[in-house]
Amino acid sequence: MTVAAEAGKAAELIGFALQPKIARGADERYGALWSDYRTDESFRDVVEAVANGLGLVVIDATDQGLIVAPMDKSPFSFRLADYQRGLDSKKRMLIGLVHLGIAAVCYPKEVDLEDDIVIRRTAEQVERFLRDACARLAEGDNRDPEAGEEADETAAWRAFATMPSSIRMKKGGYAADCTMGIITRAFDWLVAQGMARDAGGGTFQLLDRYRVQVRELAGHAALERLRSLVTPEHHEDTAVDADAVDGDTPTVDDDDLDDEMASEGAR
Amino acid sequence: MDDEDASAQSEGTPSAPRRTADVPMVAGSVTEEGFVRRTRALLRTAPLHRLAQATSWQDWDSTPYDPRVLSLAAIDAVIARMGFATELSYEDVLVVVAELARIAAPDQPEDEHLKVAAYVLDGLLNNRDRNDSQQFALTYSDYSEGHTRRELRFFLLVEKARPDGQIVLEASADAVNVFRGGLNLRVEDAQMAMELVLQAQLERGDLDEAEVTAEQNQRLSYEMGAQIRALLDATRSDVSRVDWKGEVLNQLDRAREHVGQRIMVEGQILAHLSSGDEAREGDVKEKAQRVASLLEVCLREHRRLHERLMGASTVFLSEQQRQELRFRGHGLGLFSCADQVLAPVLELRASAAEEVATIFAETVLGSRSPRLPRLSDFIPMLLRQRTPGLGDEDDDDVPDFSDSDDDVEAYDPTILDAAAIVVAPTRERPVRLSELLDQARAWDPEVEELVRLSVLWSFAPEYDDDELAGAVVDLIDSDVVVIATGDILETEHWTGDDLLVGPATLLFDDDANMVDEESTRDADEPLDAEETELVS
Repeated sequence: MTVAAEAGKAAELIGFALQPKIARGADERYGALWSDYRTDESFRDVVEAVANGLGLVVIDATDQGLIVAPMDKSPFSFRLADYQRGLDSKKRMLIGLVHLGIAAVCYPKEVDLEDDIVIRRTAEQVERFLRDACARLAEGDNRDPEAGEEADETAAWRAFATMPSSIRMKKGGYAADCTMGIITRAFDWLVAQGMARDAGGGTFQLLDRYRVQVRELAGHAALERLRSLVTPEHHEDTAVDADAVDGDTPTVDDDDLDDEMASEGAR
Repeated sequence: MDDEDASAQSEGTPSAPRRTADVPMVAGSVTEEGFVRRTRALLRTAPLHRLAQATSWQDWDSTPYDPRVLSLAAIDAVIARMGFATELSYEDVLVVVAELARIAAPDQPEDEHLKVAAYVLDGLLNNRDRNDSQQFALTYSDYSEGHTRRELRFFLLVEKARPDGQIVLEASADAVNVFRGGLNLRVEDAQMAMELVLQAQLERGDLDEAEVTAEQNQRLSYEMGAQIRALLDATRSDVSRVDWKGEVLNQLDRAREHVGQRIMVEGQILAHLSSGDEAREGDVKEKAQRVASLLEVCLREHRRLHERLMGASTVFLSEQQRQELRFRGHGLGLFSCADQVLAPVLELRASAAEEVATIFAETVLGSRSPRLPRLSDFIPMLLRQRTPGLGDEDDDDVPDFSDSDDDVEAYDPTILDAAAIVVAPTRERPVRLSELLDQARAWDPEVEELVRLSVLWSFAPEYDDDELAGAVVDLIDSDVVVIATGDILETEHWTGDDLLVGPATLLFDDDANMVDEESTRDADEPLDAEETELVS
């Protein structure tokens, strides 16, 4: 096969991967390309090269199909602002917290990230989970000596705790300015992005693709940023990490984090 | 799917063993491996008993129903179809169990039967409303070395996506164990024994017994199937988790040999059965045929397994290769989404939390353009001259969109948000109206309506109704323009010219053609490019 034809096939496969709602078993052509990817090493290299050129990275080839994700600053990167205008920083934070809440309800423990099963969760479960977490923080609040330091800025959980839980619209559904509204919309986005399905009655089925996304990318991205925020900037370990996400911001040594998590996960 | 190995691996860290106490002589068996195995088998039935006890929390009267039996029936139903093209979905099993509930309490409303069924099924899936893992986790005492508290984690039923995207229920190997009643036997041994029994029964001409035995044999086949599948799945999910060189290869060899033997023996028994067929009459003949058909099912299952087993080493090799190459994100480690990510973020001050939470949300949502425009459509579209519409319809034929009384204030913020999400990509790239409508329809008919009206207004604002202006201007960016593609839009509800909505900079790329917002909105657009609403 010529180089051009091979590249064409690779691009075709990536095209399928970019339509996450299409399963490889449901489309003959996709199935054929997918199995080439699984079995033909040189084709796999071509696919990965084409993907990288597009600013994408192949994360996995599961039974349902190829999973690709945008690299940092890729034209395919998802930005909250792209999809909903007029989000202020508080709303962005709440949307993010809700997404963290969905992941936490689906995969509360390390081992939960290992099983390639479909998980059913309702918006109410996420709501309760987040409210409970906020309530626990509220209880311990007075005893927290560090709370005073940031007195001028409220802690994240307060923003969630003080938002009304559910404001019903006349025409059904929740208003945008209540936590249930944000949660159901977050689920809708996951559905639109092929990470979940709507099982009806307020229940959603989180697919394997979602787990892979959390496990391989989103969780680590969040943890890394979290560490860079929590750890003071003057970190003694000066190992230079070529592929640190933000080359321009001081980051802690990634290996520390990985080792720590690897040992957590190994149990 | 969990298997024995994985569940053994996932056992929590045992608390420090206490000083080895002397186990009373008569209770000596507690230190034996077989005892632990039986304990673990027993534990796997615990979720069923818990289901039977927790009914007092439900808003239906549990008296007529037996959640244990319903659970077993649900597991049975799932196992019976496993591996076949017609595997059952959550909804399928719900219907089956609800029907059994109806038979138990025919006077109760249908709604209640469904609730009971959902209760049972969610219980088996461990979907109950607790902030906990999907796996069942139970602790038990292990006396094999002093005393250790251990944790057993397992699944009974799980939902899985098939390669074609359908989500179906599967029973774990553990569930098949429950189904078998927790017999503490090696599968292979049990099945061999069963065949011997079956042969003996057939030789005696005891067809009633033979039928029962053949049924049991069939269940054993399913169990072995589940174990082998679990083994292959474990290989697939992480090669490093299974001891391929030692245990797994041996296991697969044993399984292959065993399955080969079963195929042979079952073939022999079937031949034996059919040879005596002419001599049998009526009732006896029917029974013989039932036994034969049960055996044929086993044979089919075994042939399938054999095929899979023959390909098993290939599975491993390709998995090993794939997993070595697999992108591993920012590290290999697993983490707890609840304790390690969510909890610390909640405690951050708002601005810091926003950073972390936004990164998570943006990353978890995947890529931004799940639907890229197809080049074959896109380039000719850009090259094509803007053509007038197809027909010569009169103004009067253009339906009046103002017939809906809704003014924009009447749209929910929910609807407005959704519509904004749908049209947002048009700021980046040209999108067909048909595509926008498809997406909008997925949200809500009202979203579809709003998107349709907004695009039309951008295209030909002379039809604007005062009450529309506000929302429409908000929805479609001022630097987004709308042109006719010349293609026909035909959907269930709408027909007319398909339109292309996109950034002016992309759609009118050279200076001569540069059309600013005002002129696009001028009334020089052909009227007949309007959508015409089908009378439904």
